[in-house]
Amino acid sequence: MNFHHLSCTEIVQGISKGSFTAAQVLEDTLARIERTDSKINAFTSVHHARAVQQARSIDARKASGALLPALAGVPFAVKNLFDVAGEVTLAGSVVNQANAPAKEDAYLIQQMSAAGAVLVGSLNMDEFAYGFTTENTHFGPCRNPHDSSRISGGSSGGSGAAVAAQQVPLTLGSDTNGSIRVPASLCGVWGLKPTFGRLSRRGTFPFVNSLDHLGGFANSLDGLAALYDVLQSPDALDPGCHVKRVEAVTPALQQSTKTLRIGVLNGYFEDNASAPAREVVARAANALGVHAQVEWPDAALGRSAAFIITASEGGTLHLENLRRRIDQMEPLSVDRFMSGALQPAAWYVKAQRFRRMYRDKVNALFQHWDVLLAPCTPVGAPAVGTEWIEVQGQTLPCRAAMGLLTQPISFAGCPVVAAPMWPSDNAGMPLGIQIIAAPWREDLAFSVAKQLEHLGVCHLKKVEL
Amino acid sequence: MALKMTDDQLLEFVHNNALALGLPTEEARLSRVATHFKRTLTMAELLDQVDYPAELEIAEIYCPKKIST
Repeated sequence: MNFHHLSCTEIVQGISKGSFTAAQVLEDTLARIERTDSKINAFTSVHHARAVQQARSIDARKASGALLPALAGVPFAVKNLFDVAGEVTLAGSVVNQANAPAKEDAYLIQQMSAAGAVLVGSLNMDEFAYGFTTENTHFGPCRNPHDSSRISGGSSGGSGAAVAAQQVPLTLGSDTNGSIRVPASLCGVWGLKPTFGRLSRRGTFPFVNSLDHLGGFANSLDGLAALYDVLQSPDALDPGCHVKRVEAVTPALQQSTKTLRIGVLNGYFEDNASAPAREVVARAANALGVHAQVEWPDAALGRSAAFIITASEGGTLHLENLRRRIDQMEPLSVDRFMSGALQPAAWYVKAQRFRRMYRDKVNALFQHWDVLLAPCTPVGAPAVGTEWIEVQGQTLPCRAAMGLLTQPISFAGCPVVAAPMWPSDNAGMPLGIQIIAAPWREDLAFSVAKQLEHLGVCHLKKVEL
Repeated sequence: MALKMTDDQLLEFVHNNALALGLPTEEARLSRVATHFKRTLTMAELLDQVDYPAELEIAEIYCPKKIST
């Protein structure tokens, strides 16, 4: 029996009703990964024994008549910067292979396990999360399931590709400047970057403390909402976790969007978008009956400040690696890390001062709007190894430019649902949109996403592997 | 912007800064690093054109504020 096409809701219901067992779902999942991953390279390790034990535990609970938790028996995998007890946390790097294994699971994995989800493996990524392409020299590029000659996006490329390849229905990733939204866009799956400070980052390998978010991917919007609701929890031990309570979004999926003030971002977000990227946003706007054009404040400056803070904090974090192990680091990003370490302090401080002004301007914008739409990426997935992309007459460096449209949004900390769309002239490849809400209003982004799914505008496409 | 350097000056800056931080200084690497540094310099110049009130503090451990609608 095949289970890999099921959403997490369908898996939970099937196990709950006794139609099938968690062990059967796991067996099919592991077989699917075994059969397909040589083409995709999404997984860097499979946690077989642990997964079998967790699935058996769910089946035992079912047999005992106990009520099953929210994600009972749902297989999931994590970007390999999440701590997994007994495993070395690679963060995409061979440099980390010498580190001791993690003593316990990352906080969000603990949340998933408590909800009955079954961890099956860890996933490929750009080294130390510094990239948008997952062309990892040491572990190999993660390939796009819709066309294996193309990139999956990054840095959570394995997380996006594993869902698109129907290897698992849910994955976890991180997003500092777009690392969930870019692969979600290029792989054609649902993604969520919550508000900065919403989810605990404890037990994950950091990149840029000032900007790091955690979030997830799913093969259904209902699944993404269920995942997010399970991940939420205050965590006093993460100084960057600001929440005091859980604010579930699953009820928001039933809310009407009729009274919401929805607009489309223009200016910077049009100028840096290819025709397919503009097409998907226009299609979503038309479906929603939205005509208003909205200018995001200081988008280019926000992107510049995010770029500088990223380079400076990232370069400083890896100063010892740059001094002692530079030849073991990823050739595609090591020079950027070094450049960041050399930046004058004045650049960094100015970028952080600018961020305070920027936050106020973005919050002022959301006094007038509930949800704003923009493309996730300037273009669809380029071929592996692409150095330059063309966007409206501009020649841009591919590996940096894939985050052009995501960086200004995450710099303000706004929550975004990345929704899968399929432009008419993009070689059959996906290109997603960002559904952006004010900080702490994930519920509004989910409401609009649900409406777009209901209208048939946003959806996954099956891959043949 | 105070930094208005020629490419040679920029390479020299990168070289000296790398020395100060104890980082490798082989020529080929420094040249690649300087290319990245120059790209970031353009962004720093953009930010330098903003008017910053003296009382404007850096962002704290960042916390988006809840808005009242």
